[in-house]
Amino acid sequence: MTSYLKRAIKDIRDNAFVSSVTIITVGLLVLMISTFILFWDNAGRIMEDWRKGIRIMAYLKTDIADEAIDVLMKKIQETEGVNEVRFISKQQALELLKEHMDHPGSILDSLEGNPLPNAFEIMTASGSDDNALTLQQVEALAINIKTYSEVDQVEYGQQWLKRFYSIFDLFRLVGFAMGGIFVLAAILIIANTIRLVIYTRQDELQVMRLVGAYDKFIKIPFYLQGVIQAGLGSSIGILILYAGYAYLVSSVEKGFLMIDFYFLSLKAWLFIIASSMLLGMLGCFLSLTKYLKD
Amino acid sequence: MNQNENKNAIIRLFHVHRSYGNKRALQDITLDVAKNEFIFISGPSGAGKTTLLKLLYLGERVNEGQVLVDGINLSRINKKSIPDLRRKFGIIFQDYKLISTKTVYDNIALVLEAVGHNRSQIPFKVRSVLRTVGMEEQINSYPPTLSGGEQQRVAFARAVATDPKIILADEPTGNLDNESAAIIMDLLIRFHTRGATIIVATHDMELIRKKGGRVLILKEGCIYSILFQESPRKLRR
Repeated sequence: MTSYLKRAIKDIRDNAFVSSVTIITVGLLVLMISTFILFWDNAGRIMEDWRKGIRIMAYLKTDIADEAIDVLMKKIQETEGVNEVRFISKQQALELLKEHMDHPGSILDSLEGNPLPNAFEIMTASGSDDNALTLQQVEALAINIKTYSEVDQVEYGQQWLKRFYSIFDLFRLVGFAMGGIFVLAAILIIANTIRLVIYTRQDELQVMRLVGAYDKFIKIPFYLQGVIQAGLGSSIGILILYAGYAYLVSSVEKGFLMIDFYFLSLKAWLFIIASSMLLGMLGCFLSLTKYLKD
Repeated sequence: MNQNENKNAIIRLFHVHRSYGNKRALQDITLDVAKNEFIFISGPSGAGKTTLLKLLYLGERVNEGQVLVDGINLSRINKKSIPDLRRKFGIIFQDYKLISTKTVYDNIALVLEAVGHNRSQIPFKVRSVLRTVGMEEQINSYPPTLSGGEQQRVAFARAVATDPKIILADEPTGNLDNESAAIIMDLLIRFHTRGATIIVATHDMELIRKKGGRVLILKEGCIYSILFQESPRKLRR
Protein backbone atom coordinates (compact mmCIF):
# COMPACT_ATOMS: atom_id res chain seq x y z
CA MET A 1 0.00 0.00 0.00
CA THR A 2 2.92 2.34 0.74
CA SER A 3 4.14 2.04 -2.84
CA TYR A 4 0.64 2.83 -4.14
CA LEU A 5 0.52 5.87 -1.85
CA LYS A 6 3.93 7.01 -3.05
CA ARG A 7 2.81 6.62 -6.65
CA ALA A 8 -0.40 8.51 -5.93
CA ILE A 9 1.52 11.42 -4.40
CA LYS A 10 4.04 11.40 -7.24
CA ASP A 11 1.22 11.38 -9.80
CA ILE A 12 -0.40 14.36 -8.08
CA ARG A 13 2.92 16.21 -8.31
CA ASP A 14 3.55 15.13 -11.91
CA ASN A 15 0.08 16.32 -12.92
CA ALA A 16 0.20 19.46 -10.81
CA PHE A 17 -2.14 21.53 -12.97
CA VAL A 18 -4.96 19.00 -13.24
CA SER A 19 -4.52 18.08 -9.57
CA SER A 20 -4.80 21.74 -8.58
CA VAL A 21 -7.98 22.12 -10.64
CA THR A 22 -9.47 19.08 -8.87
CA ILE A 23 -8.48 20.32 -5.41
CA ILE A 24 -9.84 23.82 -6.09
CA THR A 25 -13.09 22.41 -7.50
CA VAL A 26 -13.60 20.22 -4.45
CA GLY A 27 -12.64 23.14 -2.19
CA LEU A 28 -15.23 25.43 -3.79
CA LEU A 29 -17.93 22.77 -3.61
CA VAL A 30 -17.22 22.07 0.04
CA LEU A 31 -17.15 25.81 0.75
CA MET A 32 -20.56 26.15 -0.89
CA ILE A 33 -22.07 23.17 0.89
CA SER A 34 -20.60 23.94 4.31
CA THR A 35 -21.67 27.59 4.02
CA PHE A 36 -25.18 26.32 3.46
CA ILE A 37 -24.88 23.85 6.36
CA LEU A 38 -23.55 26.63 8.61
CA PHE A 39 -26.41 28.94 7.70
CA TRP A 40 -28.95 26.16 8.08
CA ASP A 41 -27.50 25.05 11.39
CA ASN A 42 -27.55 28.55 12.86
CA ALA A 43 -30.99 29.37 11.47
CA GLY A 44 -32.29 26.09 12.90
CA ARG A 45 -30.73 26.90 16.25
CA ILE A 46 -32.39 30.32 16.30
CA MET A 47 -35.75 28.81 15.45
CA GLU A 48 -35.30 26.20 18.15
CA ASP A 49 -34.62 29.01 20.61
CA TRP A 50 -37.84 30.64 19.59
CA ARG A 51 -39.63 27.40 20.27
CA LYS A 52 -38.23 27.32 23.77
CA GLY A 53 -40.82 27.35 26.48
CA ILE A 54 -44.10 27.83 24.63
CA ARG A 55 -46.39 29.42 27.19
CA ILE A 56 -49.99 28.40 27.81
CA MET A 57 -52.20 30.77 29.76
CA ALA A 58 -55.08 29.11 31.61
CA TYR A 59 -57.61 31.70 32.86
CA LEU A 60 -59.64 30.53 35.84
CA LYS A 61 -63.30 31.05 36.54
CA THR A 62 -64.20 33.49 39.27
CA ASP A 63 -64.96 32.39 42.79
CA ILE A 64 -62.64 29.39 42.88
CA ALA A 65 -61.45 28.60 46.36
CA ASP A 66 -57.75 28.91 47.11
CA GLU A 67 -57.53 25.21 48.07
CA ALA A 68 -59.01 24.23 44.72
CA ILE A 69 -56.50 26.46 42.96
CA ASP A 70 -53.62 24.74 44.81
CA VAL A 71 -54.92 21.26 43.91
CA LEU A 72 -55.35 22.25 40.25
CA MET A 73 -51.88 23.78 40.13
CA LYS A 74 -50.41 20.55 41.44
CA LYS A 75 -52.35 18.50 38.89
CA ILE A 76 -51.16 20.67 36.00
CA GLN A 77 -47.59 20.63 37.34
CA GLU A 78 -47.60 16.83 37.20
CA THR A 79 -48.86 16.71 33.62
CA GLU A 80 -46.34 15.41 31.07
CA GLY A 81 -44.71 18.12 28.98
CA VAL A 82 -45.17 20.82 31.62
CA ASN A 83 -42.02 22.41 32.93
CA GLU A 84 -43.29 25.02 35.30
CA VAL A 85 -46.62 26.42 36.47
CA ARG A 86 -46.94 29.87 37.97
CA PHE A 87 -50.09 31.24 39.52
CA ILE A 88 -50.86 34.84 38.59
CA SER A 89 -53.55 36.32 40.79
CA LYS A 90 -55.94 38.90 39.36
CA GLN A 91 -54.16 41.65 41.35
CA GLN A 92 -50.76 40.63 39.98
CA ALA A 93 -52.26 40.57 36.49
CA LEU A 94 -53.59 44.10 36.92
CA GLU A 95 -50.23 45.35 38.14
CA LEU A 96 -48.48 43.69 35.22
CA LEU A 97 -50.95 45.29 32.86
CA LYS A 98 -50.28 48.70 34.41
CA GLU A 99 -46.55 48.17 34.02
CA HIS A 100 -46.90 47.37 30.34
CA MET A 101 -49.19 50.24 29.45
CA ASP A 102 -47.66 53.62 28.65
CA HIS A 103 -50.54 55.66 30.03
CA PRO A 104 -52.52 53.22 32.19
CA GLY A 105 -54.15 55.84 34.41
CA SER A 106 -56.96 57.07 32.22
CA ILE A 107 -58.40 53.66 31.21
CA LEU A 108 -57.70 51.58 34.29
CA ASP A 109 -58.87 54.24 36.71
CA SER A 110 -62.26 54.28 35.03
CA LEU A 111 -62.76 50.55 35.75
CA GLU A 112 -64.91 49.46 38.62
CA GLY A 113 -62.98 46.77 40.49
CA ASN A 114 -60.59 44.33 38.80
CA PRO A 115 -62.01 42.70 35.65
CA LEU A 116 -59.02 40.38 35.15
CA PRO A 117 -59.27 36.71 36.14
CA ASN A 118 -56.84 34.57 38.15
CA ALA A 119 -54.61 32.59 35.82
CA PHE A 120 -51.91 29.95 35.51
CA GLU A 121 -48.87 30.60 33.35
CA ILE A 122 -47.78 27.16 32.17
CA MET A 123 -44.31 26.75 30.61
CA THR A 124 -44.01 23.69 28.38
CA ALA A 125 -40.85 21.60 27.93
CA SER A 126 -38.28 23.77 26.14
CA GLY A 127 -36.95 23.35 22.61
CA SER A 128 -33.50 22.30 23.77
CA ASP A 129 -34.98 19.43 25.77
CA ASP A 130 -35.40 16.02 24.21
CA ASN A 131 -39.06 16.04 25.30
CA ALA A 132 -39.81 19.43 23.65
CA LEU A 133 -43.43 19.53 22.56
CA THR A 134 -44.62 19.60 19.00
CA LEU A 135 -47.47 21.87 17.99
CA GLN A 136 -49.91 18.95 18.19
CA GLN A 137 -48.73 18.10 21.69
CA VAL A 138 -49.11 21.74 22.81
CA GLU A 139 -52.64 21.72 21.40
CA ALA A 140 -53.45 18.45 23.18
CA LEU A 141 -52.06 19.82 26.45
CA ALA A 142 -54.18 22.98 26.11
CA ILE A 143 -57.31 20.92 25.44
CA ASN A 144 -56.51 18.73 28.45
CA ILE A 145 -56.15 21.78 30.71
CA LYS A 146 -59.37 23.22 29.33
CA THR A 147 -61.26 20.11 30.55
CA TYR A 148 -60.75 21.10 34.18
CA SER A 149 -63.96 22.62 35.52
CA GLU A 150 -62.07 25.47 37.20
CA VAL A 151 -60.58 26.64 33.91
CA ASP A 152 -62.52 29.15 31.90
CA GLN A 153 -60.28 29.81 28.90
CA VAL A 154 -56.93 28.61 27.53
CA GLU A 155 -54.65 30.59 25.24
CA TYR A 156 -51.32 29.70 23.70
CA GLY A 157 -50.96 31.92 20.60
CA GLN A 158 -52.56 29.31 18.34
CA GLN A 159 -52.44 31.31 15.11
CA TRP A 160 -48.90 32.52 15.56
CA LEU A 161 -47.65 29.06 16.55
CA LYS A 162 -49.27 27.39 13.57
CA ARG A 163 -47.66 29.87 11.22
CA PHE A 164 -44.29 29.53 12.95
CA TYR A 165 -44.34 25.74 12.79
CA SER A 166 -45.34 25.70 9.13
CA ILE A 167 -42.43 28.08 8.36
CA PHE A 168 -40.12 25.87 10.41
CA ASP A 169 -41.27 22.73 8.56
CA LEU A 170 -40.86 24.46 5.20
CA PHE A 171 -37.40 25.63 6.22
CA ARG A 172 -36.41 22.06 7.07
CA LEU A 173 -37.87 20.67 3.86
CA VAL A 174 -36.09 23.28 1.73
CA GLY A 175 -32.90 22.61 3.68
CA PHE A 176 -33.01 18.89 3.01
CA ALA A 177 -33.91 19.39 -0.66
CA MET A 178 -31.10 21.91 -1.21
CA GLY A 179 -28.66 19.76 0.74
CA GLY A 180 -29.58 16.81 -1.49
CA ILE A 181 -29.13 18.88 -4.64
CA PHE A 182 -25.76 20.18 -3.43
CA VAL A 183 -24.53 16.67 -2.63
CA LEU A 184 -25.72 15.34 -5.99
CA ALA A 185 -24.03 18.24 -7.77
CA ALA A 186 -20.87 17.55 -5.77
CA ILE A 187 -20.84 13.87 -6.83
CA LEU A 188 -21.35 14.78 -10.49
CA ILE A 189 -18.76 17.56 -10.49
CA ILE A 190 -16.16 15.42 -8.70
CA ALA A 191 -16.87 12.45 -10.99
CA ASN A 192 -16.54 14.70 -14.06
CA THR A 193 -13.36 16.34 -12.77
CA ILE A 194 -11.84 12.92 -12.23
CA ARG A 195 -13.02 11.88 -15.67
CA LEU A 196 -11.15 14.90 -16.99
CA VAL A 197 -8.06 13.76 -15.08
CA ILE A 198 -8.40 10.29 -16.56
CA TYR A 199 -8.90 11.77 -20.00
CA THR A 200 -5.70 13.80 -19.72
CA ARG A 201 -3.86 10.69 -18.56
CA GLN A 202 -5.38 8.19 -20.95
CA ASP A 203 -2.04 7.59 -22.68
CA GLU A 204 -0.57 6.51 -19.37
CA LEU A 205 -3.54 4.26 -18.61
CA GLN A 206 -3.36 2.77 -22.09
CA VAL A 207 0.36 2.05 -21.72
CA MET A 208 -0.19 0.42 -18.34
CA ARG A 209 -2.92 -1.78 -19.73
CA LEU A 210 -0.87 -2.75 -22.78
CA VAL A 211 2.14 -3.79 -20.76
CA GLY A 212 -0.03 -6.06 -18.64
CA ALA A 213 -0.65 -4.08 -15.45
CA TYR A 214 -3.37 -5.59 -13.30
CA ASP A 215 -6.45 -3.46 -12.74
CA LYS A 216 -5.61 -2.92 -9.08
CA PHE A 217 -2.21 -1.51 -10.04
CA ILE A 218 -3.99 1.07 -12.17
CA LYS A 219 -6.98 1.71 -9.92
CA ILE A 220 -5.58 1.92 -6.40
CA PRO A 221 -3.31 4.96 -6.99
CA PHE A 222 -6.24 6.70 -8.72
CA TYR A 223 -8.51 5.98 -5.74
CA LEU A 224 -5.82 7.27 -3.39
CA GLN A 225 -5.40 10.38 -5.50
CA GLY A 226 -9.16 10.94 -5.42
CA VAL A 227 -9.14 10.57 -1.63
CA ILE A 228 -6.09 12.82 -1.14
CA GLN A 229 -7.34 15.53 -3.49
CA ALA A 230 -10.84 15.49 -2.01
CA GLY A 231 -9.39 15.54 1.52
CA LEU A 232 -7.13 18.49 0.69
CA GLY A 233 -9.86 20.34 -1.21
CA SER A 234 -12.46 19.90 1.54
CA SER A 235 -9.99 20.96 4.25
CA ILE A 236 -9.18 24.10 2.27
CA GLY A 237 -12.90 24.78 1.74
CA ILE A 238 -13.63 24.50 5.47
CA LEU A 239 -10.62 26.63 6.41
CA ILE A 240 -11.78 29.38 4.04
CA LEU A 241 -15.26 29.17 5.55
CA TYR A 242 -13.80 29.39 9.04
CA ALA A 243 -11.73 32.43 8.07
CA GLY A 244 -14.84 34.07 6.61
CA TYR A 245 -16.89 33.20 9.68
CA ALA A 246 -14.23 34.51 12.07
CA TYR A 247 -14.00 37.76 10.09
CA LEU A 248 -17.78 38.20 10.05
CA VAL A 249 -18.22 37.46 13.74
CA SER A 250 -15.40 39.81 14.72
CA SER A 251 -16.74 42.57 12.45
CA VAL A 252 -20.32 42.48 13.75
CA GLU A 253 -20.65 44.22 17.10
CA LYS A 254 -21.38 41.68 19.81
CA GLY A 255 -25.04 41.61 20.72
CA PHE A 256 -25.99 43.70 17.70
CA LEU A 257 -28.25 40.99 16.32
CA MET A 258 -29.15 39.59 19.79
CA ILE A 259 -28.16 36.19 18.41
CA ASP A 260 -25.19 33.95 19.14
CA PHE A 261 -23.61 32.39 16.04
CA TYR A 262 -21.82 29.08 16.17
CA PHE A 263 -19.33 27.51 13.74
CA LEU A 264 -19.65 23.91 12.61
CA SER A 265 -18.76 21.38 15.28
CA LEU A 266 -15.57 19.30 14.97
CA LYS A 267 -17.81 16.33 14.29
CA ALA A 268 -19.36 18.20 11.35
CA TRP A 269 -15.89 19.16 10.04
CA LEU A 270 -14.76 15.58 10.13
CA PHE A 271 -18.00 14.39 8.60
CA ILE A 272 -17.68 16.84 5.68
CA ILE A 273 -14.03 15.93 5.05
CA ALA A 274 -14.71 12.19 5.31
CA SER A 275 -17.74 12.49 3.02
CA SER A 276 -15.67 14.43 0.48
CA MET A 277 -12.97 11.75 0.56
CA LEU A 278 -15.61 9.10 0.05
CA LEU A 279 -17.07 11.09 -2.84
CA GLY A 280 -13.59 11.44 -4.33
CA MET A 281 -13.23 7.68 -4.27
CA LEU A 282 -16.74 7.19 -5.63
CA GLY A 283 -15.97 9.63 -8.46
CA CYS A 284 -12.84 7.63 -9.29
CA PHE A 285 -14.75 4.40 -9.15
CA LEU A 286 -17.45 5.64 -11.56
CA SER A 287 -14.94 7.07 -14.04
CA LEU A 288 -12.46 4.21 -13.92
CA THR A 289 -15.12 1.53 -14.15
CA LYS A 290 -16.32 3.15 -17.34
CA TYR A 291 -12.80 3.55 -18.72
CA LEU A 292 -11.51 0.10 -17.81
CA LYS A 293 -14.64 -1.73 -18.92
CA ASP A 294 -13.15 -2.82 -22.24
CA MET B 1 -7.93 -26.36 -34.39
CA ASN B 2 -5.33 -29.02 -33.92
CA GLN B 3 -2.65 -27.64 -31.67
CA ASN B 4 -0.22 -30.39 -32.56
CA GLU B 5 0.11 -29.28 -36.14
CA ASN B 6 3.05 -27.01 -35.43
CA LYS B 7 4.60 -27.42 -32.02
CA ASN B 8 7.22 -24.78 -32.79
CA ALA B 9 4.62 -22.05 -33.37
CA ILE B 10 4.29 -19.39 -30.67
CA ILE B 11 1.50 -17.61 -32.54
CA ARG B 12 -1.23 -19.28 -34.54
CA LEU B 13 -4.08 -17.66 -36.40
CA PHE B 14 -6.76 -19.86 -37.88
CA HIS B 15 -9.33 -18.46 -40.34
CA VAL B 16 -9.44 -15.15 -38.53
CA HIS B 17 -12.00 -12.54 -39.53
CA ARG B 18 -12.31 -9.04 -38.15
CA SER B 19 -14.66 -6.33 -39.35
CA TYR B 20 -15.80 -2.89 -38.26
CA GLY B 21 -19.48 -2.64 -39.08
CA ASN B 22 -19.71 -3.43 -42.76
CA LYS B 23 -16.03 -2.83 -43.39
CA ARG B 24 -13.92 -5.98 -43.36
CA ALA B 25 -10.49 -5.32 -41.85
CA LEU B 26 -9.20 -8.90 -41.98
CA GLN B 27 -10.55 -11.86 -43.88
CA ASP B 28 -9.72 -15.51 -43.42
CA ILE B 29 -6.21 -15.07 -42.10
CA THR B 30 -4.40 -18.30 -41.27
CA LEU B 31 -0.80 -17.98 -40.13
CA ASP B 32 1.77 -19.64 -37.87
CA VAL B 33 4.69 -17.70 -36.41
CA ALA B 34 7.48 -19.87 -35.07
CA LYS B 35 9.34 -19.24 -31.86
CA ASN B 36 12.25 -16.86 -32.43
CA GLU B 37 11.06 -16.05 -35.96
CA PHE B 38 11.52 -12.55 -37.40
CA ILE B 39 8.52 -11.88 -39.59
CA PHE B 40 7.37 -8.80 -41.45
CA ILE B 41 3.75 -7.95 -42.09
CA SER B 42 3.55 -5.63 -45.02
CA GLY B 43 1.03 -4.06 -47.33
CA PRO B 44 -0.45 -0.68 -48.14
CA SER B 45 -2.17 1.55 -45.60
CA GLY B 46 -5.49 0.12 -44.48
CA ALA B 47 -4.46 -3.42 -45.43
CA GLY B 48 -5.04 -4.64 -41.84
CA LYS B 49 -1.46 -4.76 -40.47
CA THR B 50 -2.22 -2.90 -37.23
CA THR B 51 -5.48 -4.79 -36.74
CA LEU B 52 -3.61 -8.07 -37.05
CA LEU B 53 -1.13 -7.02 -34.34
CA LYS B 54 -3.96 -5.79 -32.07
CA LEU B 55 -5.67 -9.18 -32.25
CA LEU B 56 -2.57 -10.78 -30.77
CA TYR B 57 -2.49 -8.75 -27.55
CA LEU B 58 -6.27 -8.46 -27.36
CA GLY B 59 -6.31 -4.80 -28.25
CA GLU B 60 -9.19 -6.08 -30.33
CA ARG B 61 -11.04 -9.37 -30.61
CA VAL B 62 -11.72 -11.55 -33.62
CA ASN B 63 -15.22 -11.82 -35.05
CA GLU B 64 -14.55 -15.31 -36.35
CA GLY B 65 -11.69 -17.78 -36.17
CA GLN B 66 -9.17 -18.42 -33.45
CA VAL B 67 -5.90 -16.99 -32.24
CA LEU B 68 -3.42 -18.89 -30.08
CA VAL B 69 -0.54 -17.14 -28.35
CA ASP B 70 2.01 -19.33 -26.58
CA GLY B 71 -0.64 -22.02 -26.23
CA ILE B 72 -3.38 -19.70 -24.93
CA ASN B 73 -6.59 -19.64 -26.94
CA LEU B 74 -7.59 -15.97 -26.93
CA SER B 75 -11.25 -16.78 -27.60
CA ARG B 76 -11.43 -18.53 -24.24
CA ILE B 77 -9.28 -16.23 -22.16
CA ASN B 78 -10.99 -14.63 -19.15
CA LYS B 79 -10.65 -10.93 -18.40
CA LYS B 80 -8.39 -11.45 -15.39
CA SER B 81 -5.83 -13.33 -17.49
CA ILE B 82 -5.48 -10.61 -20.13
CA PRO B 83 -2.66 -8.79 -18.25
CA ASP B 84 -0.71 -12.07 -18.08
CA LEU B 85 -1.14 -12.50 -21.83
CA ARG B 86 0.06 -8.95 -22.49
CA ARG B 87 3.18 -9.50 -20.41
CA LYS B 88 4.36 -11.89 -23.10
CA PHE B 89 4.58 -8.93 -25.49
CA GLY B 90 6.76 -5.90 -25.85
CA ILE B 91 4.92 -3.46 -28.08
CA ILE B 92 6.47 -0.63 -30.10
CA PHE B 93 4.18 1.93 -31.69
CA GLN B 94 4.73 4.34 -34.54
CA ASP B 95 3.73 7.24 -32.26
CA TYR B 96 5.90 5.90 -29.37
CA LYS B 97 3.15 6.31 -26.74
CA LEU B 98 5.54 7.67 -24.14
CA ILE B 99 4.06 9.50 -21.14
CA SER B 100 5.04 13.11 -21.71
CA THR B 101 4.70 14.16 -18.04
CA LYS B 102 7.16 11.49 -16.89
CA THR B 103 10.90 11.34 -17.37
CA VAL B 104 12.57 8.67 -19.50
CA TYR B 105 13.43 6.86 -16.27
CA ASP B 106 9.86 7.00 -14.96
CA ASN B 107 8.41 5.84 -18.28
CA ILE B 108 10.39 2.62 -18.06
CA ALA B 109 10.26 2.20 -14.28
CA LEU B 110 6.46 2.43 -14.37
CA VAL B 111 6.27 -0.51 -16.75
CA LEU B 112 8.62 -2.59 -14.62
CA GLU B 113 6.62 -1.72 -11.55
CA ALA B 114 3.38 -2.56 -13.36
CA VAL B 115 4.55 -6.08 -14.16
CA GLY B 116 5.72 -6.66 -10.58
CA HIS B 117 9.46 -6.41 -11.16
CA ASN B 118 11.59 -6.51 -8.01
CA ARG B 119 11.44 -2.92 -6.76
CA SER B 120 15.04 -2.70 -5.63
CA GLN B 121 16.25 -3.90 -9.03
CA ILE B 122 14.26 -1.38 -11.06
CA PRO B 123 16.89 1.43 -11.13
CA PHE B 124 19.57 -1.01 -12.34
CA LYS B 125 17.26 -2.54 -14.92
CA VAL B 126 16.22 0.87 -16.27
CA ARG B 127 19.84 1.98 -16.62
CA SER B 128 20.81 -1.30 -18.22
CA VAL B 129 18.10 -1.22 -20.84
CA LEU B 130 18.72 2.44 -21.60
CA ARG B 131 22.41 1.66 -22.05
CA THR B 132 21.45 -1.04 -24.56
CA VAL B 133 19.57 1.47 -26.70
CA GLY B 134 22.18 4.20 -26.16
CA MET B 135 19.90 6.52 -24.21
CA GLU B 136 21.41 6.37 -20.73
CA GLU B 137 22.44 10.02 -20.80
CA GLN B 138 18.86 11.14 -21.39
CA ILE B 139 17.55 9.24 -18.35
CA ASN B 140 16.16 12.38 -16.70
CA SER B 141 14.82 14.01 -19.87
CA TYR B 142 11.16 14.33 -20.69
CA PRO B 143 10.02 12.72 -23.97
CA PRO B 144 8.90 15.95 -25.67
CA THR B 145 12.49 17.26 -25.41
CA LEU B 146 13.83 14.26 -27.39
CA SER B 147 14.01 13.75 -31.16
CA GLY B 148 11.73 11.21 -32.86
CA GLY B 149 14.55 8.68 -33.14
CA GLU B 150 15.45 9.10 -29.48
CA GLN B 151 11.82 8.74 -28.41
CA GLN B 152 11.52 5.55 -30.41
CA ARG B 153 14.66 4.19 -28.74
CA VAL B 154 13.14 4.94 -25.33
CA ALA B 155 9.91 3.26 -26.46
CA PHE B 156 12.00 0.30 -27.58
CA ALA B 157 13.75 0.19 -24.20
CA ARG B 158 10.37 0.23 -22.47
CA ALA B 159 9.11 -2.61 -24.68
CA VAL B 160 12.08 -4.87 -24.01
CA ALA B 161 12.61 -3.95 -20.34
CA THR B 162 10.31 -6.73 -19.19
CA ASP B 163 12.15 -9.35 -21.32
CA PRO B 164 9.09 -10.25 -23.39
CA LYS B 165 8.91 -13.41 -25.46
CA ILE B 166 7.41 -11.57 -28.42
CA ILE B 167 8.13 -8.08 -29.71
CA LEU B 168 5.44 -6.43 -31.82
CA ALA B 169 6.53 -3.35 -33.72
CA ASP B 170 3.87 -1.37 -35.53
CA GLU B 171 5.55 0.83 -38.16
CA PRO B 172 8.49 1.38 -35.80
CA THR B 173 10.43 3.42 -38.34
CA GLY B 174 7.46 5.20 -39.88
CA ASN B 175 8.30 8.60 -38.40
CA LEU B 176 12.09 8.28 -38.44
CA ASP B 177 14.93 9.34 -40.68
CA ASN B 178 17.13 6.65 -42.25
CA GLU B 179 19.79 6.75 -39.57
CA SER B 180 17.31 6.41 -36.71
CA ALA B 181 15.44 3.70 -38.61
CA ALA B 182 18.67 1.74 -38.99
CA ILE B 183 19.34 1.99 -35.25
CA ILE B 184 15.87 0.66 -34.44
CA MET B 185 16.28 -2.20 -36.92
CA ASP B 186 19.64 -3.08 -35.40
CA LEU B 187 18.04 -3.20 -31.98
CA LEU B 188 15.26 -5.46 -33.23
CA ILE B 189 17.84 -7.79 -34.78
CA ARG B 190 19.86 -7.81 -31.57
CA PHE B 191 16.85 -8.88 -29.51
CA HIS B 192 15.95 -11.44 -32.15
CA THR B 193 19.37 -13.04 -31.75
CA ARG B 194 18.74 -13.13 -27.98
CA GLY B 195 15.73 -15.37 -28.59
CA ALA B 196 12.73 -13.08 -28.94
CA THR B 197 10.08 -13.57 -31.62
CA ILE B 198 9.78 -10.39 -33.65
CA ILE B 199 6.77 -9.27 -35.68
CA VAL B 200 7.19 -6.01 -37.54
CA ALA B 201 4.33 -4.35 -39.38
CA THR B 202 5.71 -2.02 -42.00
CA HIS B 203 5.08 -0.80 -45.50
CA ASP B 204 8.78 0.12 -45.86
CA MET B 205 10.05 -2.42 -48.42
CA GLU B 206 13.59 -1.06 -48.12
CA LEU B 207 13.60 -2.12 -44.45
CA ILE B 208 12.42 -5.60 -45.40
CA ARG B 209 15.04 -5.93 -48.13
CA LYS B 210 17.81 -4.97 -45.71
CA LYS B 211 16.81 -7.48 -43.04
CA GLY B 212 15.28 -10.28 -45.08
CA GLY B 213 13.09 -13.05 -43.72
CA ARG B 214 9.49 -14.15 -44.10
CA VAL B 215 7.10 -11.46 -45.27
CA LEU B 216 3.32 -11.66 -45.03
CA ILE B 217 1.76 -9.26 -47.48
CA LEU B 218 -1.76 -8.13 -46.76
CA LYS B 219 -4.07 -6.43 -49.19
CA GLU B 220 -7.56 -5.25 -48.29
CA GLY B 221 -7.57 -7.48 -45.25
CA CYS B 222 -6.60 -10.68 -47.06
CA ILE B 223 -3.28 -12.49 -47.34
CA TYR B 224 -2.01 -11.42 -50.74
CA SER B 225 1.16 -13.49 -50.54
CA ILE B 226 3.74 -14.92 -48.19
CA LEU B 227 7.26 -14.67 -49.50
CA PHE B 228 10.75 -15.14 -48.22
CA GLN B 229 13.15 -12.27 -48.72
CA GLU B 230 16.77 -13.32 -48.72
CA SER B 231 18.90 -11.08 -46.56
CA PRO B 232 21.47 -8.95 -48.44
CA ARG B 233 24.24 -10.88 -46.70
CA LYS B 234 22.94 -14.20 -48.05
CA LEU B 235 22.38 -12.71 -51.46
CA ARG B 236 25.98 -11.48 -51.57
CA ARG B 237 27.19 -14.93 -50.59
